[in-house]
Amino acid sequence: MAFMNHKKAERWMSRAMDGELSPRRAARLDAYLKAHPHVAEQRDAWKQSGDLLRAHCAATPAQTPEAAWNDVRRAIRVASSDVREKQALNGRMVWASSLAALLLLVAGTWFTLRYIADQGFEAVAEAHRTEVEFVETDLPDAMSMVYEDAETGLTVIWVLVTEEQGHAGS
Amino acid sequence: MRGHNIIKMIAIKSHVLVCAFLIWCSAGMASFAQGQTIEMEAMLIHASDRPAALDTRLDKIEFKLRRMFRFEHYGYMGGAKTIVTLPSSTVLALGHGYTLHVQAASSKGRMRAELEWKKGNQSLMKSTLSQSRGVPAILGGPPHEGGTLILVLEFR
Repeated sequence: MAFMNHKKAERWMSRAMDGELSPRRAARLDAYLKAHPHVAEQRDAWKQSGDLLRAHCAATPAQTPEAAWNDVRRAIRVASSDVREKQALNGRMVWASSLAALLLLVAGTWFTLRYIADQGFEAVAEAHRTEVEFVETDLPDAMSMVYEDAETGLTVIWVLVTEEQGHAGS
Repeated sequence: MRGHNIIKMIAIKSHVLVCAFLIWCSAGMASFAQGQTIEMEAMLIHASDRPAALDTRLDKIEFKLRRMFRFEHYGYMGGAKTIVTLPSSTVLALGHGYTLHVQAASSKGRMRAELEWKKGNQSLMKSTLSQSRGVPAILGGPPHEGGTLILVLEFR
């Protein structure tokens, strides 16, 4: 019975007796009343009072314009109360997700800085560089060379054949 | 309501930032380990000065090659892609009789590969190199039909 207290239960009981409570909320109220018999007793007492009042009235008076206007105002009040509850819930969700995102960002930044501090800036850059241990070729009149292209940062392992015009290493 | 919208905007931006950061982490700091399944791809390219149409199969690498070399045209000759579990010894058939023999193993989180690029039985190039994930190595130089062969090798 989360999010239900005595005051709320009283409000919902009142609406239920006026026939204004949605079926979903009515089900929740019933569950609450089962778990809280003293509140259920209060509801029964209200019902008895209502029955007594109705019994003493010979006939139901015709609805006056004032009563009709009160009904309209009550309907507006109930609808706006529902909207406010939904907005409050949305606001809490936005706050929670913002906080979670912020925590992730802080943790990520901390992890990166720690990683760079541990490894050193040069080591981080070095980790992405291709290292060449050796190169050899069986092509006749050829020599090999290894260089890193300054523009792309890619490592080139090139076999330079004597007849070649020398396109490499621009 | 304005404050509510600002909070919403911050939340959305934070989520985008966090996603970008996580993608960057996974791409940049991923390392290789023994027993890990990896993808290796080799692409054989014919570079020459003879005019020819653009080859769309080289879209991802040609702009880099153009910045590195001074050839007029780059054409796709062949290639192979395979998935292996480290350590691994495999032969990639590149087409036109060219093969690439690869012995790959992880070493200190990087890929250490012993390569032999061959045409039939002739060894064009032997090399041992250590690469990071997603960083291609460019091998090349052997002459072929008035041009030069380039081999792009990448581990992912």
